[in-house]
Amino acid sequence: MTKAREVADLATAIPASEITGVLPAIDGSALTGLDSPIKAWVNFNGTGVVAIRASSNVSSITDLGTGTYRINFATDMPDADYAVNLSGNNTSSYGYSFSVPANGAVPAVGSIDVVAAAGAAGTAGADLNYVYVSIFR
Amino acid sequence: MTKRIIYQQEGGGVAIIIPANCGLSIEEIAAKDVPFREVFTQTGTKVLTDAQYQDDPEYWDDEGFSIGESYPTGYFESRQKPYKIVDVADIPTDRQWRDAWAVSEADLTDGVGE
Repeated sequence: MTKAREVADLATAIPASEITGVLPAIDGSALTGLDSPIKAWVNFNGTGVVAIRASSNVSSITDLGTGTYRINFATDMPDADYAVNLSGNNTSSYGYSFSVPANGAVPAVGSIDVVAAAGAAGTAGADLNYVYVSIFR
Repeated sequence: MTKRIIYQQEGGGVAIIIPANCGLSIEEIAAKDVPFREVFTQTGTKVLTDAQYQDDPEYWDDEGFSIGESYPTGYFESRQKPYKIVDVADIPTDRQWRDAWAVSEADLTDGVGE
């Protein structure tokens, strides 16, 4: 008999019905080293009455003009070297470009300016029904 | 939230803050997210001397002062821009001319002097 076979026999030797007790509770408080790279995100409607659908670690967004928004973080980033993912669309059309940071702006630890344009980057800003912004660090 | 915070942008136009459900009150969000600006407080005047002018003529030319002319003295300090907390219903929904929206600073009376 091989050792692998011996272990298998041991495992099947105890019927499940005879196993009693419960697993220890884990509340997570003792866990360390857990840190998600996603530091903030927001999903908002940039048309009509601009409104936030859902967000995390975002205190507000600032409507700065057509297609131009500032994302204000509830808790500042550790530095301004974070990465930003920006996308979105209208329900009625497609073909937009996105700039991060917005022209003339620089990333800050407390906020980032973003712009959506109707066409190539640098063209007129466009208000979109769905704007998605996520911050990684 | 059914409230919005409005303030004037540096280059003209209106900025509108849309609060998130982050546990902060509208006042706390205003205090945190309305930007600051440098405000000059004049404490007196001085007469521009020839030596001062020659030290940095480009600066004085840009400021529009010539030798023998009085110029204001004082200091700059960072102050939060004046803002106003308004109902969302007060914000226009037609954004066709969004970049032309304007507001008078005299109407931005919340948070001033805090």
